[in-house]
Amino acid sequence: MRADPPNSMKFNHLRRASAPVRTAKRLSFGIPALDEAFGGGLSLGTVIEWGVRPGRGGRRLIVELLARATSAPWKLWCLWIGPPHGATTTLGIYPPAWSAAGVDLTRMRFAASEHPVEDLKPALVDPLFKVVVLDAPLRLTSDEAAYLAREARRLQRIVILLRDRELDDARGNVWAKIRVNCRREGWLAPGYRLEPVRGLSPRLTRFRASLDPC
Amino acid sequence: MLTAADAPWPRYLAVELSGDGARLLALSPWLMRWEGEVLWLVDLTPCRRYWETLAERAGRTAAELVRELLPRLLGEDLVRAASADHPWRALLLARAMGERKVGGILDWDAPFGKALRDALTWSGWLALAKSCAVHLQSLHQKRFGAQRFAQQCRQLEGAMARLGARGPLMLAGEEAMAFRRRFGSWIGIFWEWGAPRDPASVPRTAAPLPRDPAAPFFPRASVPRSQAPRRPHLMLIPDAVGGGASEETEAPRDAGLPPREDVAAPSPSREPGFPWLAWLPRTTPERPRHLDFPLWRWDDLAPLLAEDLAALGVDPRWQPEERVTELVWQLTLNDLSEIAVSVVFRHPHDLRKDAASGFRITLLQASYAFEDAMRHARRHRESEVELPITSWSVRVAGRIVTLTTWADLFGEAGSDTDLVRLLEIENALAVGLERYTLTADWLPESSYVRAASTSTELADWVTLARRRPLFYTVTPVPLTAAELRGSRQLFLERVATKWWEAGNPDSGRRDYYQLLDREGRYLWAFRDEQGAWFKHGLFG
Repeated sequence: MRADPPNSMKFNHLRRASAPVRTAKRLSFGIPALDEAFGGGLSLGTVIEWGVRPGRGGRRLIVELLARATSAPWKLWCLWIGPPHGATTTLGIYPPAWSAAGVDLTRMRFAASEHPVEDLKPALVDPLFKVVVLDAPLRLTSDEAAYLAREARRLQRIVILLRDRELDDARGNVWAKIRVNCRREGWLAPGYRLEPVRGLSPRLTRFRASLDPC
Repeated sequence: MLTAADAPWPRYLAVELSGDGARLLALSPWLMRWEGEVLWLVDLTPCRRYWETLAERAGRTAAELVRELLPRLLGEDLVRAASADHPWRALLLARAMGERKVGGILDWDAPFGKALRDALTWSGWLALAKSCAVHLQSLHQKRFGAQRFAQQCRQLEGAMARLGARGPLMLAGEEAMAFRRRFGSWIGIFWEWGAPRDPASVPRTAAPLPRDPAAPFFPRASVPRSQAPRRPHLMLIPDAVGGGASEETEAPRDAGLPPREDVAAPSPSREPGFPWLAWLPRTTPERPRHLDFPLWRWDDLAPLLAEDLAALGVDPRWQPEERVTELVWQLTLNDLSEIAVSVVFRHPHDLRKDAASGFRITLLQASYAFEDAMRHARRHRESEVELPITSWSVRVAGRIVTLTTWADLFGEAGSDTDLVRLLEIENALAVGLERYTLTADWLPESSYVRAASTSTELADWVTLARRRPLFYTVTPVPLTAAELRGSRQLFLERVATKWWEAGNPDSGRRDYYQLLDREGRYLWAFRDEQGAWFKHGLFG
């Protein structure tokens, strides 16, 4: 009769499955289907463009990524830059929901600017922030997009550019390695629909994720 | 009852001490001598973010940190200190502590502080009112007459004696207007300052929020001359204030700082009507420059300004341990008009250390302030023409003293942690970085503060937020019947409002729903007790 393995070994497979993937400098979403689509997660040093219309759930997945980034073992500093209050929206951050989603608020900083690259350049040239999210920037020139990509490579930083519209082949950020549209589908059991525009295999279009609705 | 984590950031401190009050400059550049060298007021607002960050490093709340720093700073000389969100309240509490011979540091909202201020006598209250009157008089406050005020004080004293009211507690809940009518406007104003504020009106950040919530906490200094605070218009406190203590300020004995004097200058918090006499250095490090030919482009100005900053950095009028909180760059244009460019740092800035990097951080902040000031000046003149500058002077307008003895608390000396780097990054930015901390409150709008603090156990409250959205509007937006038509709703939670604070028992609860509208957006909406729908947020 085989003896039961010691407790420390019993749950090793579970521990491996739940631990964030840190191999090859990839930051995982913690959602298996999504991580698979991104080849294990987002690699440091890249710019991705994410087409999410407001209120369609796409930002929820980015917050899931931030939850991984800010918690152990990564514990990265993350910066979320949104449009100024009142410019295009009266919405502000609701921090308790971010915390409930797993984001460590002590490692997060938020800023609002109409000219994000110009106003926040000292923060963008500093290696402190390893994940920078530009949420629907009002003004972002192609030179600035190139600059962001260059700094992302230099500082091994992930830059996520959120657009308030659906991305297409016709126009967009040429410096983004991955361009993808995302939205929530379903009512009671939410799923997500992913539409790769560039850089991802078009195989995965729908997946389910048991996330809180925030 | 407030927990340590919820304890509001003390905006004002009233500190009674023996010895050298200049040591309080380690807390904030904004001091006021209320009663000679004995009772001081400290406006902590300008350095709030700095202390919050350091408190985070030390694993304390900012309020805890200040309470820990004061005894270390003043030692045996600290008699008592009171903190509050208004200078008058801080003084009232200090007076109440003095009446009962209570030492230590107390907060206006702390249970013991509340008990003490409830025990304040009318004689203590009137003594404070009379000391405030001296400041009002020295400021030549409009519609203030010293004789008339003294008469009103006697009337109040007599009336309270007839009523048998020992202290203000007996009249708690009385409207300020009633005092104004009976005893004059200033007595009414003092009463209003001391009355507990409506909790709903007290900002959760414990310091005034900028009008635009997205704007940096400290406005990025672009103050045209017309709006700039009129600083050095000299005003010495008369003998009576300090009980004959001094009309000339001696140079602080131990700090080795330049001599200071009392100057009529609004405190950064600008409590309306409060007579603030800032205790500012008599001479400030200043560097004038006369240009050989007019310049207007920043790229031409920056190298010359860097030269002046280098000269300022070695000015003997200030000490190596001083850090800058504000520079004023006074520009003279070729039509002899002047523009004051106020360069405010979010955290106390080490000018000497910045010299090693060619004043990168100082020049960045100066460039933002310069561009804003010029934009404003052009708009004011209704002209797009560049404004040629012929001369300027740059001076240190705000500074605090850092103490090396605190290094053990923060580990600042020689260390380069992420939080210290963040301080430097924030000083270099055009817009401020916000950070949030959760509070133990069920109501969405009260469940976080825009500040750093050490959170207590909040797991239960975080669970509550799992069905709330990532983005929300501070003010709920009414939803029309047309917007609701064809939408799907999923009930999420019922939230009881703090109707007792709003004074409206009918606004007792909100039923929150996830609402999928016809455009496919997931809204966070609630229905109040009257059945009206409001949009309160947007799911990610």
